[in-house]
Amino acid sequence: MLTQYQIELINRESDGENTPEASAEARALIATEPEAMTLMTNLQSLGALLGEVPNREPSPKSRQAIYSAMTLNSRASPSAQNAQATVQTITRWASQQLADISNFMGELMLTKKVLLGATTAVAAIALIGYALNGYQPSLFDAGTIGNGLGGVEKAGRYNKKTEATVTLSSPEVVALLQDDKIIKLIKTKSFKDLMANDAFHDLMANGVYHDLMANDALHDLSSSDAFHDLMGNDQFHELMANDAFHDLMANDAFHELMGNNAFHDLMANAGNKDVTASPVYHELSNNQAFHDLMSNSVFHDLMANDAFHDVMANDAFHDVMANDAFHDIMANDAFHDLMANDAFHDLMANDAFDQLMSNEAFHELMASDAFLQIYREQSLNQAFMNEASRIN
Amino acid sequence: MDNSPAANDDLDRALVRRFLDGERAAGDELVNRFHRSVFNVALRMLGNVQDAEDVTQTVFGNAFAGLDSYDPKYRFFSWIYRMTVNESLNTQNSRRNVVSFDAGFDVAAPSAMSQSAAEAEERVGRALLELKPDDRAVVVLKHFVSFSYEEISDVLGVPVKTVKSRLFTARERLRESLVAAGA
Repeated sequence: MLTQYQIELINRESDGENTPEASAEARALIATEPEAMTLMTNLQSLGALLGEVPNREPSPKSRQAIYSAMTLNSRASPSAQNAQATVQTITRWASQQLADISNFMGELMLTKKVLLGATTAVAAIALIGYALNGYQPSLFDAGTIGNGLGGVEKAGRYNKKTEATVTLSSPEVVALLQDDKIIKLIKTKSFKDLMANDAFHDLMANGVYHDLMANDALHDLSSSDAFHDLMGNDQFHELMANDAFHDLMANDAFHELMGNNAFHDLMANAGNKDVTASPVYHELSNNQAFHDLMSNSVFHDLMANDAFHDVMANDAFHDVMANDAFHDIMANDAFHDLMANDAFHDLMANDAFDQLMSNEAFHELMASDAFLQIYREQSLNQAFMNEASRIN
Repeated sequence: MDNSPAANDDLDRALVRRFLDGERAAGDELVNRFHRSVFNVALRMLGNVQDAEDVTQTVFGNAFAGLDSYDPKYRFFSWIYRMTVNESLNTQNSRRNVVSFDAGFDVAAPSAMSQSAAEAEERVGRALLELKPDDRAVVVLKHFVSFSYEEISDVLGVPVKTVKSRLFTARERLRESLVAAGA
């Protein structure tokens, strides 16, 4: 089997990026090692196929539109030029604010990520609580808990299950319910308190929440070590209870910028240099959402918040920011809708929920494959409830 | 003669300076130099001709609007291709909000294109759209603009090591996808 070094050597050879010495080494390897020969052949075949794809000519209309725009710019009136200069001055100032706060946007994104993980936790609580604690059927009167939970049927129907149905229960469900840590978790006061929380119930009835629960990236994110570390961070919880933060989460300009790649690039480099000198900054300087956010008082309130700065200096935060699953979640529509949900915000400020989020057993549950399967598959979901019934 | 983007960067800087000094022809020359390539990068990123033309116009519009604050210590090609990749990703994200994600490859072949080229374009286009956007960007810049690892690193603002890692992985996935599709 080829080593990572050999794979890279052959890829570089295929791309013409090797030094003469490395090229000689690559050729010798290809001549003597069949696997290396196969890799090189595959790369060359792929390169040849990509090379067959012709470059297209843009339409003359496209070129004309560009020329027209360029003409308008070059003939801008003095008043228009003054207006443009004013915008640039404001933008430069705003950009400097960003430089001072470094990864502000990254922090916001992280917070979203934490919220998302918290939501996953709530999903687990809902499922287990429903099964083991006789969760009120009225919460699920629509007939199901929701798609994200695999369409859990309401309690009335569940109680009618026969002993024969119980035997259908799956090994995944049994394994989960035989875990002492999970059983202890279910019996904690914080877990029971959360079950009695109105905001929790409201969230469980929200379709957006269930859409989010069905997202792979969410599960990947919530099972990462960095995410768990962050969830146990006091400053993070303080930030989560901050009004300015929540206002910003509901801000349209913020959401638009969150989907803008140039802004992410700018934030990634803001701590290292003068962002106004960055090429990406120039790209952003024409973005209205950027200007709106920079002039928003909520943004400035958050910038003055100590908890925010503490979180920014947290290693776990930075690890989370580098996580691919996190970025996938950031692009998820259901996530953005959930961020604007009052019940969700109320739950985030709930003490019992906070305590559960720092419970090790809870995190183990979130990271377990069994849990993932159970909350996605209706048959497993039903089997899980049947097993829970036997325990009770 | 070295025709790589980096080798021509002095020319690009000079064109920018002349355009800012009021020489309209220098702006035309910048468009001539990058228009086709920017359009093709957007096309391969998005798999849709109309979206690619929209991205191309937006990129040049933003570039000329912000040219007076362009810092010549940065490579012009890095700047404009980075805007192209970012604007393509923004367009892809916004399309997700209004149509199903599986909108797919939508590039009708011109009548002048040979059948084999049209088939290659469709096969490759569909496979490219199955890659993660970050991986797709690396493959497009490597194989459709012929950038070096370092130039791709410059454009995307990520380390060369990351470029290599993404490229090697993406090509393997691309090959698997093409094999699965019977290419």
